[in-house]
Order: sequence, then structure tokens, then C-alpha cells
Amino acid sequence: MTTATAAELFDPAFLRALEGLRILARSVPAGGRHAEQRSRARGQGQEFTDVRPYVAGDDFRTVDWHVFLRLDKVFVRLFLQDEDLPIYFLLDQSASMARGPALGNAPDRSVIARRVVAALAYVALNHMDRIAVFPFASEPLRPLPGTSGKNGFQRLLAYLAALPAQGSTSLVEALQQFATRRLRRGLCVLVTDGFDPRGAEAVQKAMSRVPHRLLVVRPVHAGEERPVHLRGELRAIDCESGEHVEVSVDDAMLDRYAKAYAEFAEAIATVAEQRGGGCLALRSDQPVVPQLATLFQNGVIQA
Amino acid sequence: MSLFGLAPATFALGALLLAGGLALLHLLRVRLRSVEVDTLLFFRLAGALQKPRVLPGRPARWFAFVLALLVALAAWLAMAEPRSGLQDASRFLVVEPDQQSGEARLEQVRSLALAGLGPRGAILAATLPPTLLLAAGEPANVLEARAAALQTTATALGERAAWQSIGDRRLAGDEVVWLGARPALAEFPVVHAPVARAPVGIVRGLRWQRAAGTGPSLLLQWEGDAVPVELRVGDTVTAAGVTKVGAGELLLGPVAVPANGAPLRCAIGTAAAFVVPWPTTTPLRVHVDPSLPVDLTIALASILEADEELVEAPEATAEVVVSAQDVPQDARPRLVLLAGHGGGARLAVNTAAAPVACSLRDRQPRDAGALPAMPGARVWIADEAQGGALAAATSSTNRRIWIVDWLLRPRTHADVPLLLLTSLRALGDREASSMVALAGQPLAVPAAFPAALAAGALLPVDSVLPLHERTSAGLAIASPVAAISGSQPTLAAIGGDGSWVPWLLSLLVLLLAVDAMLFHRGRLP
Repeated sequence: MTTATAAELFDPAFLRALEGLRILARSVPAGGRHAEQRSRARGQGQEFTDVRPYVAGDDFRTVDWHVFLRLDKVFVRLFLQDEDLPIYFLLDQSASMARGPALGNAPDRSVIARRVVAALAYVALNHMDRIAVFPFASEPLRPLPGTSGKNGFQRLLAYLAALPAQGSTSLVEALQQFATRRLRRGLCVLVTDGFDPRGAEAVQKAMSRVPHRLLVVRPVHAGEERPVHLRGELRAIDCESGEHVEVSVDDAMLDRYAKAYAEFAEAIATVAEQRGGGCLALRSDQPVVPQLATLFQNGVIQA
Repeated sequence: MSLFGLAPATFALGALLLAGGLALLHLLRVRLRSVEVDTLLFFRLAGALQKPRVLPGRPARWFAFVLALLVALAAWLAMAEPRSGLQDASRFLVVEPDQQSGEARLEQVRSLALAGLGPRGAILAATLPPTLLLAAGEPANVLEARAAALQTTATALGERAAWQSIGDRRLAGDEVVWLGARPALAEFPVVHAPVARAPVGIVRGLRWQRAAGTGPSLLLQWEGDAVPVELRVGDTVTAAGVTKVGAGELLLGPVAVPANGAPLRCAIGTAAAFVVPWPTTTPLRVHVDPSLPVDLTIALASILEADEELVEAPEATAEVVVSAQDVPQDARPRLVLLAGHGGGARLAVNTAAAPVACSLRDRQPRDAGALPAMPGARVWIADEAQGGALAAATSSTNRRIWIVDWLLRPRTHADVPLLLLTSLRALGDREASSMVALAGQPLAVPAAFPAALAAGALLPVDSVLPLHERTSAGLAIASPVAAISGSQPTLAAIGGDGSWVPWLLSLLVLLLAVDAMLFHRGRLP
């Protein structure tokens, strides 16, 4: 189990670095709350979009009096409705996420993952978007229900700080269960190492069924793609299941390992790209915000 | 358990070395390092192509592999008994089996074998397949047993096969000898091809017999053509009668013992003559202690009955006593048959000091004792494998001969009467009988024999063979064939000599291969 205090996850400098970033939805489905994201719904937004004849019940404040004077007919002006973007964080809290790097003293993946969630949630909450966190390990953990407003950020931090990291990775089940939730379409941020024992193909399949735009953030440790420190005769024990394999790690074996790792990462990234979000491998030995900033083009994530 | 191939100290040293080598191998074996990893996913993906240790693939530990290989090769090489000097000239004999001249030819082969075969030489019979009669390094007495076991006759195909079988072993400078009545095959380069002379006959036995009221008579057991037999005392031909008493048995005499001790010579036709020692006038009184094993008592009784110069007597009047325990206070000469102590392989050999013609080379028990240390005693028969004495004698005031009991087993062995008879005669100050040495020996016709006999000169060596000059036993009481197990080895064939060792070593190599395979596949820790 790995827990961290809110101060460990965030500090003021971290927050300042996030100012100016924004998650901008290309479009949000109707039905949300009034916020800053442009939706397809007609409503009381700022942006004029059309006029139509007045019908009983329309708000008199929307009547276009210039048209009435010129044509002697009553029309009302239509505006695009600004709504919030629902952002769902699927946070992997399995035991493998709680492991630090084999070499060096970088924080473990769970800390990095929670910092990512906090950072993106901070950006979202700053712009009136709505967030929800669905942590999972071998089974779904207690989620953080929909939260909006800057006041919700402290609640989020407290929630993240108390999250344990233990159990095996059931990424496929977590994605499947999440896909069946009747949620308003939005952005799904999947923060995981992706080490589901069923392999990349099963993960790919489950990811493709998520009915949201999908952004994948993979906390990675330096050198995990080619673990040269494991060179030699090895009984490799899975930190989650306790299973083991006997393996002779030499250059050839490392080459094959690196190849398998690269294929796995490529498969995850391909699905994420297809789902419209993208994929980021976030190094644990480097600052989080600059790496996250690569997702924001001109300070904006086009979700 | 006994060890024949190695002395105990050598075995212990080898065992220690093997243990050290195996311990080193064990240390060098792969020891897995347990490491907790984030996921086995990528190891499985990568390991699906190659398991940790799998054939074909280069070994993970070259040094361990080379060491294991060296251990196996060293064991194999040790069992192969490597020798130096294999390039020295050797002699190969190919013998044509011939029932008519078998004994004479065997004697000829024996004499050539005693001259040495060199490091690679061999004696083969031209049978199909060729029969190995004697290989380099083997004791010569196995030659007789193997030759006696030959049932087949010579054929040209057998001769050709024999030549071909030695062809691979032959080097430049080796001597190849063909022993046969007919010429050797022309295509094979035979250096020397003597032809054995046909024997006149064989003396199966020659011993004194006593009859009441008359002088002693000589009982001659003769196998061969009818020949005139002549006895001479000094230069005078005696008028002893010749009586045929059985098949191949002639009773010569009685003969009057001369007062001047002139030698008695027995001439069998023109074939051979022997100097026959005169019988002693008073038989040696021997007492056999009843505490001895029954079978040994029976064997001793047979000897006392066969030798006219020995007679059984009660203990009070005996001159020589045979017992299982020494009695120090008894000053009479005593033959003590001890059980021996200790264990291990034994290789009985005559000492140069007091040789006796025993077929000791075949007396190699796997587990047997030896005589305890006897200060002042003279070793008669030594144990070459582990040292110590198997038979010893002392000529001090208390004359004793000790013989370890297993040398007299089995009781029907040809050595038993020879050892007992020689011991009893030596204790009784009786001359060792040379007659028994003549038995079974083929008699050739020395060209100068008649003249030599007339002149009273010494007889040719090949006509009278003193007992102690023989390396293999020629025994009157038992056939030498019975002394040898009749194994029939083949030349340089694995397991052909009946030994399991090569097969066991092959199994060892196979097991090592299986072990290595399992180890490389990760089935062994």
C-alpha cells in the first residue's frame, strides 16, 4: 500500500506551472452544466449562431428588435450553449504502480500517476469542467464522484492521497466496466502502466470499447524498456501475482525484451490515437508538468 | 566389497578428487537470483522464443561445461588404462589350431609368448572369427586355457580374418609370426613362419610306487606312441622290468637304490630323458590336526596317499604337523593354515627368493585376507596388490610355514596339492619332487640327446624342466585347464572379454549426456 500526503503530490510551484493550461473540447454533448466548453446545444452562450421566428414561450430578451423594426416580424437570436466537459480519470492503483525504479530514487508510478490526475483535474476544474476518478486494481476501488469547481480540488487531493496501491492489475476488466457506465460523453484519461498479464491485445480491445475520447498516460521508469540490471540467471517473480519464471538474461534476451516492450507501448499508443486522445509515456525521473505540457499544444489539449 | 582394479589408497585419492571436482561443478552450476519485477509480461513474450537453457544453444557457463567434459574424459581415459611406449616393436602370432600337434604347438606359442609380445602384440588363433589367445599384458597362463577351449579348426577365412584384425594394430617394425603346418596366405607379409614339431608323446606323470618286499618302482603315465623305456643308474642300464598296469601307465622296476647315490635316468625312447630323484628310504611322518576343515583334511589325505614319501602318523610320532594354529612350544616343523585378516584385492605372486610353480595369476580374489606380520619370517608368496604375505616360512628353531587359507581354495584347484606337497617336503627336509614338473609337458626330440645321455652330461633344458623355472603350473594332479576360467576375449572389442566395465562406462556417458540435457533444459536445479 502506498499513500501520500496532498503536499507530497502537489506543491504551489507545481500548481503555478499549470496556470494557463486548458483542456478544450472540440465539442461536448448537450446536457451538461453551464461552463466554458462550447456545445452543440443552443442556449445562452456568448456566441451568436442563428435567428428563428418567435414562438410563444421564448424569452423576450432574445428578440432581435432590429429585425422586427425592419421586417415587422418577431425573430429571436440563437446562441451556442457553453457547457462543461466531463473528464473521467481511470487510475491504475495496482501493486506494480507502487514500485519505484530499480535504479535511482525517482518516485513510484503511483505517485506519478496521482500527480498526473491532480494536474489534469486542476486544469479542468479551473475551467469549470467536471471530473470523476475511477481507481482500480484487481477490482474497482471506491470512486470519486463527479466534482466541479475549484473547491473540489482540495477534496480531490485528499482523495488521491488516501488511495492505496495494491493488488493485481485488472486493466481489461476496469475498462470493460467503465465502458458499461452510462456516463455523459467526455474525455477519459487512463493513467496506468498497462501491465495487464493478458497482454496488449486484450488491453487494446478493451480500450477500443470505451465510448469516450481516450487519453493514455503511462508512468514509466527509466530503463524499464531494457532492464539491463537484471542481466544473469534469474528467477523473476511477478510483484502482483507472485508467479515466477526462470530466465537467463543476456544481450539477446534483453533485445527480445525491449522489442516486446516497444511493441506493447506501440499497441497502447495506437489505440489511444485512434480514440482521439493520444498517449504519453511519462518518465518518473523527470518533472511531471513539462512532460504533461507536451500534451498541450499552445496550452490547450484538444479533447 | 573389494576393489580389484585399484588399490584402496588410490581409490580413496581418486574418490577425493572426484568429490572435489563434483563440488566445483556444483558451485559452478547456475544459481538463480530471485528478483521481484513489475510484470512477467515481457519476459513471457521474450522467453517464448527461447527458454532459459535449451538445446541447441551455447552453454551459459562454458567453464562448467569444459570441466564436466574433462571429468568424463578423465574417467573414461582412466578406465581405458592408457600405457606409454605403445610405439615399441611388438609381436603378433597367428596360430593354426591343429589337434594333431596341438600340445607341441602350444608349447611353441608359450615360449614365444614368454619371450614377450611387446606393448601391442597379441596371439590369435586362425579361427572364424579369430580367437584371441593372449593379449599384451595378460599373464601367459591364460593361453593354455583359451587354447584348450578352442573347438573350431583353422580355415583360410579364419586366417584371413586374423591377419585383418591385427592389420590395424600393426606398425612398422612389428614382427608377424605364422605358426602353422601349411604356408601362410601369400598376400599377408609374414616375417617368420616356423612349424611346430609333432610331439612323440606326453608324460602325464612319473612317480615312485612302493610295494611290500621289493624296491621302489617308477609309475610312468605316458600318452603317445609306444616307445622303449630305459632306466639307467649312473651309466649302467638297469634290468628293471616294464609292466603295463593300465591305459598309458607303465610300472618300471623295481629298482635297487645304489649305495653311492648314482643318479637314476629314465629315457623314453629317443624322445627324452629325466633325472629322477631317488625316493627317500624313510617316509616323512605327517600329522593332520583334526581341527582343520574337513575338505582340507581330505585334500591332505589325498596328497599323503599319492606321495610315497609321505605317510600319515599320529601326532605323538609325527615329524611334521599340519594345523590351523601355531603351537610355539612345539619345536616340530609345522604347516599352519591361517584364515588371514584384512580385505581388498589380492594378487598373489611368487617372490624371487623362493618361487613355486603355482598358477597364481588366476588367484585374484576380490576380498581376501593376508597373513599377519611375522617378524623374521621369509615371504614365500606375496600379495602384489596390497603388499603383505600370503605364504611365509621361517627356518629358525621352530620351523614353520604359514599359508593363508584362500590360497588353498577351491580345494580342487591345481595349486592346492602343489602348495601342500611343497610345504610338507620343505618342512621335512625332503627334496622337492621334480617329477610333477614334467607332467603335461610335450616332449620334443633333442638332436644331441643320445650322445649327451651316453656321456652323462647334463640333459637339455627343454627335456628336463625344474619346477621353479616354470611360470605356469604343469601339474600332475590336476589339469592346468581347470585352473583357468575359460573366457574368450576378442581383440579390441568392447565388452568382448565379458567385462561389464565398458558397458557401464558407456552407460555413464549416456547418463552424463542426459544429465546435461536436463540441466540445460532447466529441469535440474
